[in-house]
Amino acid sequence: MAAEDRTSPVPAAAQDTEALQPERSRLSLGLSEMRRLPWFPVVVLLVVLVIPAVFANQIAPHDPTRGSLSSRLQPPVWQEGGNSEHLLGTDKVGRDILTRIIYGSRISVIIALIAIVVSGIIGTALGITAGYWGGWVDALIMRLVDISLSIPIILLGLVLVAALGPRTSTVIGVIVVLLWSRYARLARGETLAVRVQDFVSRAQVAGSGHIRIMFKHILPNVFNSLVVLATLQVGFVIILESTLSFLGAGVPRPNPAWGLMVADGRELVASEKGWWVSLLPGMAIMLVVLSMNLLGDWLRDRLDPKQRQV
Amino acid sequence: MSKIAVLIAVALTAATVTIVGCGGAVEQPAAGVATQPQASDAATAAPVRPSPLPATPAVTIVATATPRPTNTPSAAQAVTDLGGRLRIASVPPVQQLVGSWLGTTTAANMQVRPFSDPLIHTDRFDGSLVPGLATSWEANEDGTQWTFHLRDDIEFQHGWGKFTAHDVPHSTGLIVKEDAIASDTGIFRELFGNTYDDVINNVVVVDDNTVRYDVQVPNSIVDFFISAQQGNLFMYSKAQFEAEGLDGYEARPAGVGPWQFEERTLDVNLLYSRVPDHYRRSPFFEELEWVLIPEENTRLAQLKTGQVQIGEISRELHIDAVGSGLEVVQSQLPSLQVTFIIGGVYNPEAGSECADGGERCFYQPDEPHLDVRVREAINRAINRQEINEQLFDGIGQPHVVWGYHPALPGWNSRWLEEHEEKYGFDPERARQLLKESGHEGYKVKLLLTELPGVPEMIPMGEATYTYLTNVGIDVTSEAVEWSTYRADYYRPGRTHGTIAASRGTYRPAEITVRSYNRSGPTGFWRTSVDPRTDTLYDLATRSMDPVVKADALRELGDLKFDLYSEAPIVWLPAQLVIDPREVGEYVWPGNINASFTHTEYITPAQ
Repeated sequence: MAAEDRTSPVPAAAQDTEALQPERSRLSLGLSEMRRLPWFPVVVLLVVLVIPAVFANQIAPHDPTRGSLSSRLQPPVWQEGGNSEHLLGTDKVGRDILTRIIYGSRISVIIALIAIVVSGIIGTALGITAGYWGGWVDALIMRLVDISLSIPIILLGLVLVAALGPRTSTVIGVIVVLLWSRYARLARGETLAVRVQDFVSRAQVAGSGHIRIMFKHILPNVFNSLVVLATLQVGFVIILESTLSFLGAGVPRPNPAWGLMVADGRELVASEKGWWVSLLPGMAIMLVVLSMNLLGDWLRDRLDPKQRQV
Repeated sequence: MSKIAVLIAVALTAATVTIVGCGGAVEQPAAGVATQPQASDAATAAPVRPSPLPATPAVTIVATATPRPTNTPSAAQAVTDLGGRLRIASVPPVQQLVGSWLGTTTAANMQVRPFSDPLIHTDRFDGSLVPGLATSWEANEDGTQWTFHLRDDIEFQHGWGKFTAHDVPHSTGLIVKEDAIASDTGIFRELFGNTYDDVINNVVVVDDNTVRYDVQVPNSIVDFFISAQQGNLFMYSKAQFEAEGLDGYEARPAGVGPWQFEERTLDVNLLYSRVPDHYRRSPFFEELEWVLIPEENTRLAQLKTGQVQIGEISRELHIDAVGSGLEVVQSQLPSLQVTFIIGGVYNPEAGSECADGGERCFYQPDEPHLDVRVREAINRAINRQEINEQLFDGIGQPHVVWGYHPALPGWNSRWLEEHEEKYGFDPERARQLLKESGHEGYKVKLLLTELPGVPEMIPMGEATYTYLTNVGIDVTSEAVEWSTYRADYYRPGRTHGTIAASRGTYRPAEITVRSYNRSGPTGFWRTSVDPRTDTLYDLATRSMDPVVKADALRELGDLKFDLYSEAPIVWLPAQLVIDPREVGEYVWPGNINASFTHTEYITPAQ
């Protein structure tokens, strides 16, 4: 139990122990953790992803879907011919790149959050059920997981989007179909370890129902690992959504998805006439994914030492 | 986290972004260095004058063209040494085939045109129909019988014997086969018969050098349909078919063109060799190779490095190409016409049932696009000049009526005079018209489709999204494949509330009208702003009197112009990038469903 207390800040089975700790030491622990935050990824995520996504309407200088052909392919402000009206230049239709990156962050955040939450809920529920019940239930769910993991992700995405049409909801659905199995496998593994713990046995002896045991006693103890996985998945989901959009099977035009923006300028990427059309949204993708991965690594170190990298 | 871990994370992320950015494209096989020009016998390389036999229409006048000899090449006169292998970088066609009946006109043209010829050829300077395998042709008074007189000195390649009139019905029959999906399959079935056997009966071999088409429906432009300009009917060897079947055509097709088919590697290339004594023009290069490269930048890179000599490069990269010492050349005539099709404008009198039993198809009285004010508003909202200057670098010519060009029969100069007044960019007027019509803020779905030859189609659609939104129309957009557009929208008569970009080729106006405006099963889009459309179309198509025909077409054009049938945007020439160090002259008309025609006239740089 002592070991479990160190790995999980708020495990349900350790509530008694935690209640004994003075409030001041919890605050000091929190401040200590804050000081260890990796500032680079946090700042990048705030600047490139979170703040633009939340305040897009307030901070975006132009309309993200409308442009003027007479302003097309204007270079960024630092390049000859650029101007301050379009700080990062314009695309082929004269739309402001900065504005589209800002609104694109909102699309990325919405898709990533919804997809991860939904797939997390489905995967976790199935994973805990498999790990807790074992037997044929476990076998059935795990075979579904195997099937899901064996399907080529991009191919499945393209097929589903081709069949259902390129809509944001379709993209989210595709990602959920692809991601739930990862949560299920992790939740099952953690559940297998937790269900043999004494507090689970005590709960069973005390007459708790299976549902209550699974979600009241086991879920809180696997939650940290799932949070780490979810954090690491954000970058993956953004890459996946960008890839689908790049291939024309993602967020429909004229919405400013980052992958679509990269696709729009791909033939100009080596051209002086329009290298910024692809490169700048590409950099946004890179920075966000890199930051999410760094943050995920940090979270894993803090919350889940068992999986800490050497 | 250690520094090494951070560096690894950065590298992995950059690689991931690169993969996303590259779309997982497979790298093209490196093309070999172009073969150096080789010396050849001067006699073979010397320009050959075309057949001295002008066509002599005996019974009627053909409105689309006057048969006459092919122009003599100009720069070709100076060519003394043949070039080696001419390598042309092109976008891979949807179907890779050597049978013109199996593909769209574009695909067939690119792959079939080098090794086979049609009965009637196209002049490379002015695009008119000129003698090919047929030295002359004539039609009877009502346009139901077309007779073609054939050359008697043509041999099929690969030793498949002499070309005779017996090869003509066979080649025509291929176009109507069950598996035929050529652009003209529908019209060929309508004109010559629904099955291979029907065609064999209706295309009569008069003698070895004369063939007569007995046409089921009178038609005044049969010669156009079987000409190189339309480009579906090429001559194949009946003897080879009887000996080897279609497998023989796939493996080593014998044609009568200036190039001889040698080999192909799917997704990689098609290779042809020179026919030394061709009746029209023996090529100035020993070999021709289509190098199939899907990625724009790769094609440009191969041009820059001399691995190919000619390339299909989008206009946006022309500035880079020119900066690297390459040259942009363009066709003699407009190649493509670009428009927006205003959906849901069906003929109330034609009435067709929904193919799937549904209720909302074809004529729907509540369709906003039936109101001419709405159609005018759409036209007024679009800034054509800006599109031409910004997206097409100003190379476009004004387009006032979809399907009509000043050089084609049926043109009315009034349209151009009144164009600015009636179609000029005027957002205020557009808003006012929408308000008057009661359709202010109505919902439109803008369908964005990529089509070969116009890479600007998507940006043009997105710009139009802005134009329409600016006048208060509630626009949503959807990117659709052309096949989806065909299957889900225009074929079943469900274009209501849509606007879709389309592009067509330079061809007689009635061909465009047939596809876009004719009601009934012969039409595709069936946009009909006036019930007289079908009557005028039938008159124009069937009349052998050029005056009656032109008048009917003009009246039809008047209806389309005055009632804002479509929203025509621009006429465009075809453009290619050449390496001037390797290529001397390339003159081609452009009025054919392919960028690359008349390759036999391309000369090496001297």
